[in-house]
Amino acid sequence: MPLFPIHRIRALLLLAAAAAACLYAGKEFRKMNAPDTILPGQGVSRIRALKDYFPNLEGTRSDSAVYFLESGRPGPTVLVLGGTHPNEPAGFLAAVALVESLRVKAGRLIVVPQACQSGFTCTDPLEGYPQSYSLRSRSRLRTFRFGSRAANPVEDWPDPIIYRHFPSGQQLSGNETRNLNRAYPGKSDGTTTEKTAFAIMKLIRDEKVNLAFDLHEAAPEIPIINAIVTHEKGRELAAGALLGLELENLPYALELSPPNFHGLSHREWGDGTPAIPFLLETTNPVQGRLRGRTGASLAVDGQDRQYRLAQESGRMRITYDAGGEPLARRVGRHLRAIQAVLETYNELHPEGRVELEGIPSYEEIIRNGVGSLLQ
Amino acid sequence: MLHWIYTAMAAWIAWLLLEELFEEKSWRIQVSLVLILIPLVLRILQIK
Repeated sequence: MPLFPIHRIRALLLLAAAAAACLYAGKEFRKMNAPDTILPGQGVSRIRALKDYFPNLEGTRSDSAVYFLESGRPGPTVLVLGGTHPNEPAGFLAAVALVESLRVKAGRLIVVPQACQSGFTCTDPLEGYPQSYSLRSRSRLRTFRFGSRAANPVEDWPDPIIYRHFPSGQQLSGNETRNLNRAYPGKSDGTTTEKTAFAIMKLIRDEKVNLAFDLHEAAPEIPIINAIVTHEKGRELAAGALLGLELENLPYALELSPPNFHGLSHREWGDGTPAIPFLLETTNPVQGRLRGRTGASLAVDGQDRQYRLAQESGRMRITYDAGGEPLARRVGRHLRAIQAVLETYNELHPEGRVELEGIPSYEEIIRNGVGSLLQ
Repeated sequence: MLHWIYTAMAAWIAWLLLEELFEEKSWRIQVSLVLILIPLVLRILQIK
């Protein structure tokens, strides 16, 4: 038998091809570790990080920047969290817009644009998601990562078959282990995601946050779309905001946080801290099961033929405009809803107001695009 | 701990695949073996 029979030479050649594929794929995947550029505006007074609240996050993929916009005048402390689910770009971009454009005239705002920083380093398998999308801002072309719904699986692999929430013991599908919005109140010696949730809870307590917003998106066929989900203690504020939004022709649904559904921001922030929590949802065709070709343009323009046909047929209950669901509309909705809740808060608490400046109106955002909010 | 046990298992399976790759005579099965190898290598290197 020859030392190098043909099947072994073929094996070597195939191994070389596999090594080339690994090298190329590895390079592509590692590109997602490069951080997004966020340009703090004039309103940002200081920048901290989640590791300042929980040092165990130092040096991990889950540490994330915390931006402070302080007026120096008394008023409530408001927290805005974007990027809890990095495949929901409107939540992330609305938070970035606040960091880059907002000025606070009374009270203070704390913004974490990438709450689940680890989820920005990968995409969901089998979804065909783009790795990034680009927008023309006021000065340049900006590119941002389009991440995964959950934290990077590399860190806490393997997922358990069943995720057991701490401390309630509630059982969910194993992949929810890496979902930040199922991990609150978190655990100091838990998984990476539980540690991130623990750091955010500590931030809320240490900074004495009064009002907290968690910005999300959902597939057009999900019933909780264009909705404000809140804890019992936020009912009055959310109802007041809804009335104002209705008058502006921006209909929203008010959803109360189910008391026995644990791990979610609107439940655990409300139960475990003095903050009044609000979770905002817009519609995002990229996440939908019905969508057709998936790419960066769908993330930005929100135009999908399959959803348009479904909407025109009238046979599906979906939240989708025939002209598409562009990022400008979704980011504009988030920003307008935050302002509406704060306006209601100011009416009810004239002694301690929060005043914001520098956010264009909803109509201006639609007209000028989401890039007009970014430097 | 479980993470490193699974990583070691992935490395062991990758080694078995390599052995099989050099013994296998059918080119179709050899191609299948290297296709399985790629995600294992990326996971062992903690890239994906």
